[in-house]
Amino acid sequence: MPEQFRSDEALRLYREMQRIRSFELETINLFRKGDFFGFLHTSLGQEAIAVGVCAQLRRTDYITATHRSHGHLLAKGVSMGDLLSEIYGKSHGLCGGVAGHVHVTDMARGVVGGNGVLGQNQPIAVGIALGLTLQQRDDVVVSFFGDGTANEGAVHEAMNLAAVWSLPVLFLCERNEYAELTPISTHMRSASIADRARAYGFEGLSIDGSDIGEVHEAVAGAVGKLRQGAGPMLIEARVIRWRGHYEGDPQQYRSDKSGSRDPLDVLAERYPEVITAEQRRRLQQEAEAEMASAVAVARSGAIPTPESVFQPIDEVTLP
Amino acid sequence: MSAASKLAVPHTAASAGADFATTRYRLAIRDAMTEEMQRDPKVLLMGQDIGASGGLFKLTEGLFERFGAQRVRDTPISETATVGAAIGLAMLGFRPVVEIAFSDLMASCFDTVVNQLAKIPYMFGPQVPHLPVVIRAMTGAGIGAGAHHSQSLETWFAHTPGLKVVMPGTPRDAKALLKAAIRDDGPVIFLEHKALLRDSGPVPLHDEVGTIGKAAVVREGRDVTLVGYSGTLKTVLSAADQLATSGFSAEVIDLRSISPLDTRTILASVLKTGRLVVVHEAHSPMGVGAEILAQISAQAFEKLKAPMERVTAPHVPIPANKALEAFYLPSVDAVVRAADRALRHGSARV
Repeated sequence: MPEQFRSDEALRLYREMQRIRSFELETINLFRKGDFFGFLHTSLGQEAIAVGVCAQLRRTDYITATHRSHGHLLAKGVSMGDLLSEIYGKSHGLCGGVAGHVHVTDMARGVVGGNGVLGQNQPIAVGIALGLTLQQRDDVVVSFFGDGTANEGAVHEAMNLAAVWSLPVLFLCERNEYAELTPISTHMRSASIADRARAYGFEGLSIDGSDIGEVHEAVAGAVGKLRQGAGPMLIEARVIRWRGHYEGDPQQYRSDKSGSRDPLDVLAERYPEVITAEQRRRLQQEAEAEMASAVAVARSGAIPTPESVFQPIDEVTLP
Repeated sequence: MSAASKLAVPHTAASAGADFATTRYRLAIRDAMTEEMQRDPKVLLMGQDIGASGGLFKLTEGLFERFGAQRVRDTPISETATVGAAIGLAMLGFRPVVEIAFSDLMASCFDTVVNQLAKIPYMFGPQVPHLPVVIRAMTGAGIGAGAHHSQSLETWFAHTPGLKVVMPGTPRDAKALLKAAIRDDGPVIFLEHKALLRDSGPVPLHDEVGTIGKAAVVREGRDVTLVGYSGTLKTVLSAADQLATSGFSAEVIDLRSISPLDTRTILASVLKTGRLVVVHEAHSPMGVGAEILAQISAQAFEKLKAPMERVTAPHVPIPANKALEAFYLPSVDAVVRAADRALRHGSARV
């Protein structure tokens, strides 16, 4: 990684990654305690991708997230309290407490939440990008997906359509080597997902997703081109998943459970005089305190009333 | 007998005066899109072959020339990407109208329709309260197009909360209800019957916007209620004519939309006639007829004078062979026979 960040930038990026780290670790604790319902998929070990990408984005840019969306949302500016309140299913949550942790959405911050059906967010990203273009904005869409989702037909259709209409979509593949419970050796023959871009007529890059310097540089270049109307791009950010598909996954399909390098360590080692051990402790404490406040916010307030949630949505008032 | 063949106002030819023009179903659909695109710059069209080619059935003919390539967008053969892109556009405030030439092909984008389009306004709560997407698709049999291009799949969509399903049977409704669909803030599946494309009928010249969810009593009667929609509207009207020659007065209801289903109008009619025959091209099991019969038996059981009847396609795929297709589709005779069975009960048939 080149010495690309000013001291304050390096520190800010580290802080953002630490926020995601602390959020995810505490969320796992809370989930184990039974504080909230449903599934839990975390983005531990993939913090450099979310932060490195969103550092290049404006509030008016859009992202579509994955089922490991906490990092994406926090990096795009969603507050821990807003995110956790929705995960807790509270009526003061971003989606009124009906979304569940996968689908948390914050349109005011340009966040379309994760999709329960893999591959379906990529066509939606294409439509948002078309809308931005028709509105003559130079905003862009980053559409996150994983190596498993790369095999969905919807992703193929979306990439082709984005290319045909030359739309500002950055397809951002977080290749973490596992499609749910299936290793990539079982579900894909090609060595590179980035290579697929050429088949659609646009550029693809493969980078180390643990190194925020690489992510930052690649995404800065891509987003700059997208804003100028160069059409879509694909970036494959390589990591190795740290945890199971879901929290509680026994991972019997996996003998080596060690994930890729810790992106926080990678950045700190690169800037030892800025991100000192003392700084790291301080930033961790800050993030944990922020998370503690978020937990208090999420635990406060009520779950939505059945009356508010079970209105038939096709009900019409007839004359 | 004369009272039995009386047409209610919405469909009467007599109303085709100075304020009406005789228009084909196909052109009524095109006119609705033209007028809505003229009225609202947020309306745009997407679909395969719809641009300079004017669509497989020529339903968008001339629109590309009039509104340009930005608003009349040819797509690849990619139903999922097209409907997904419409969702993204609608999130930004646009009002996309997607053409999928045959509703059968919506199986290719079924997830995008039932898991995305239908659910996002609910699942994202206040973040995406409105998703004004219209999917127009051709439904029904009658041209020997075979099992991949002739189905009536409205039940698939009507079963899913969050989708409105509209099925016009006349040029006037095609225009007024497509306008309503485009102005609706939620997703609408708008199914156009391919065998009706060349039908003509009176269409008002003024900007008539229909009400989705309201059935029409197209002929008043007192002995039996015949319910049809889309391609079977003409079938039940012909059956009503035949019944009239035997001295029976049939009330004919055009559902016009399947979801919401206007059971109130059907109920009011059955409370009067005591007999019900529901006719559709879709298969019988778990179908629109099954739903109507269930609702009417729950709400009007003691007023029924006869077992309720369904006349539908058999539960097999549609043969391409036109001779077999004719056998497959609900016929006027079958409707008359079903009505006769009902009329044998109670005091109607002496």
